[in-house]
Amino acid sequence: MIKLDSVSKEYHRRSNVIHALRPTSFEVAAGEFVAIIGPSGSGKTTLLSILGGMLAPSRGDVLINQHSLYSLSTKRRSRLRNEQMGFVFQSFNLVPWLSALENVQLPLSLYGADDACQRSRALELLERFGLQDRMDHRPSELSVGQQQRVALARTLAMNPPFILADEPTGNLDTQSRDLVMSTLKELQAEGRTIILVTHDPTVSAAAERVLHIADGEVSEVEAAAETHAA
Amino acid sequence: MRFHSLIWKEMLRRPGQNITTLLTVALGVGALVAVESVVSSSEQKLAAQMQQLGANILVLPDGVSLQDYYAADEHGKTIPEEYVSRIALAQKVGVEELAPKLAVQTEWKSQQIVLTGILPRTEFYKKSAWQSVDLLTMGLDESLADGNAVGSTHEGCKGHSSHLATGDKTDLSSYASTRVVHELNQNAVLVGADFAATHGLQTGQKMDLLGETFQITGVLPATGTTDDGRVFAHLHRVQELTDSGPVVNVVEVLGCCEEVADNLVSDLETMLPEARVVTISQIVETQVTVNRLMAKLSYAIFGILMLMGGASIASVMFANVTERRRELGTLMALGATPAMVARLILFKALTIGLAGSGVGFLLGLAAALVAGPQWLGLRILISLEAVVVGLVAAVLVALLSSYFPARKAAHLDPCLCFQER
Ligand SMILES: Nc1ncnc2c1ncn2[C@@H]1O[C@H](COP(=O)(O)OP(=O)(O)OP(=O)(O)O)[C@@H](O)[C@H]1O
Ligand SMILES: [Mg+2]
Repeated sequence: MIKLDSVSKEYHRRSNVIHALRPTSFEVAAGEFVAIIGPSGSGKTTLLSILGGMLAPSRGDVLINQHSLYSLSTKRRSRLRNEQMGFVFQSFNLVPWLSALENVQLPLSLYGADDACQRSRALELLERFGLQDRMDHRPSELSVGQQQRVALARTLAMNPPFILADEPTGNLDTQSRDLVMSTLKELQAEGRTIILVTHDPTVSAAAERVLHIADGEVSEVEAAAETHAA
Repeated sequence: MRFHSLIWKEMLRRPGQNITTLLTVALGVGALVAVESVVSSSEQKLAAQMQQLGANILVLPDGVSLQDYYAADEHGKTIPEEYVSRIALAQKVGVEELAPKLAVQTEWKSQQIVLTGILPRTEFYKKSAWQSVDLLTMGLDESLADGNAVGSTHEGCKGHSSHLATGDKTDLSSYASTRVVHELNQNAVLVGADFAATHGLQTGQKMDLLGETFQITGVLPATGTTDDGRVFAHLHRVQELTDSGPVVNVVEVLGCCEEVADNLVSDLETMLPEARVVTISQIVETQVTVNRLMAKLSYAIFGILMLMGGASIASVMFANVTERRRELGTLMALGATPAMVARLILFKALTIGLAGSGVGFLLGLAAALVAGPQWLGLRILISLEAVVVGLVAAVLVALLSSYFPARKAAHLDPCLCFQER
């Protein structure tokens, strides 16, 4: 369970104050699939960074399973991210000088898992995404769709209960987009909590619950209403 | 995949810039190891010469400065051979042997060689003027006792002594320390070990020198000095064939021990005011000064190259961190702590430092092993001190210069992972 308690974020730039996130409170239950939709610059990435323990809010508190995320030390927060959170990025963020297999091993390596365990887990995940014969390829030797599948495999390496996705389909063709969305659904079916941010209503339609964000202001939208509008 | 393999996997991706930095460090360490090894080997060689030559003194023409004891006759200036008799007749305490020398350049088989005129011990016997000298009474009789000398024997000589057993005196192998041969007739030559080896010469063969034919009566044992490349003939024969008159370039005086050497120098200076008198230790001192200077210089060069290496590491690392911001941010998103990210940078620099000093060690070793024997005639022993100093300094420089880049990496915002390229 993730809970935001009057969380806000301001950036101070050259005596200007940018309210990237206005005071926001909401709760995401375990196993929920939540989409946050809003236009460019509305504060989606800011919100996701705060949820991921990467950006301390100016005010308010983030609770992960009743524990205050930002009262943890940086090291503990890194550890929590490693063990509990899987990120899906718009441009995949694969490490260019590592092979597909090594990219998937990365979270396990950072965790300190032994080599055999890293390898078997990474192979298992590459197989799940049909990439076992591409395990030695560098990201630059893979198609865009294959890259996103490697990235998804890496997201799942540590078997995280929370999946945070920032515009995960932004760079993909329809077919790859469908694969990502069906994967996210599968992950939800496995009991994970999914939080996805996007500007694309067709993507947010996959979620069972949708939040709107505009100018840093978050508001709840009834899933039913959203479906009607579409 | 271990965490540390991330470091070298990343380095191998584009090794170019890392190699440039590595080479700067390697050059510094290499220069240090090479020069220090040459210097310390040369000091050891000097110490060995000191040991061998002990209390030797050189009587030189005025105004001659020299660096190498063994090349003391290669300056073209002369002193009268009569000095030899003066010293012998004065019977100074501690004088054991006298070895006058005249070096001339001559052609042999259309090559320039150095022919050195030397006076064998038997010559002293022949000179009637020296009949009273102790040497001759005890002198060359077969009853020659240990410690017999040209001058009066110094009692209670405790220092390093050049006293020789009787047997040694007639043995060519004692030449290295006595600088005198026992016998050498007018048509005979002795050849140095290297000279004999290069030209395939053996005892009994003939050599045409200065228009005369000489017979090789012996090959001198190797001494590791310029003597090894020379040919020796009777002094008077060389004087005669070169029309140089009764002159020599140098008189080597073998003192009985180091204690008397200083007194002997002042005695000889008073006796021979037109000549310059120096001891082996004075010669060694000038060389040691030159060596020390070289050693200091090598540290200065090392320091400069290490500063350059450090600056290079720092700039390469800063650029590397900036270039990899998104990648490092992603690693943080995946669970790398700031300390881990800092370690990625520090260890990369450390790898460059260690590899640099390793390559530098090999470069320095190669340079010293090639340059030492070829240009300086030295057998090289690698200076362990330089290796240790080089390694430690390279590691320190690597760590210090990557400290700020590593700190910058640790303070990167993990949110960078959400940035689009
Ligand atoms: N590091 C920062 N410093 C200053 N302002 C920032 C910073 N990061 C974001 N902002 C500002 O905060 C606001 C929200 O940015 P954010 O990146 O969260 O938007 P977004 O909804 O993710 O946009 P997009 O859809 O284009 O990715 C924007 O006005 C942006 O300019
Ligand atoms: Mg964004």
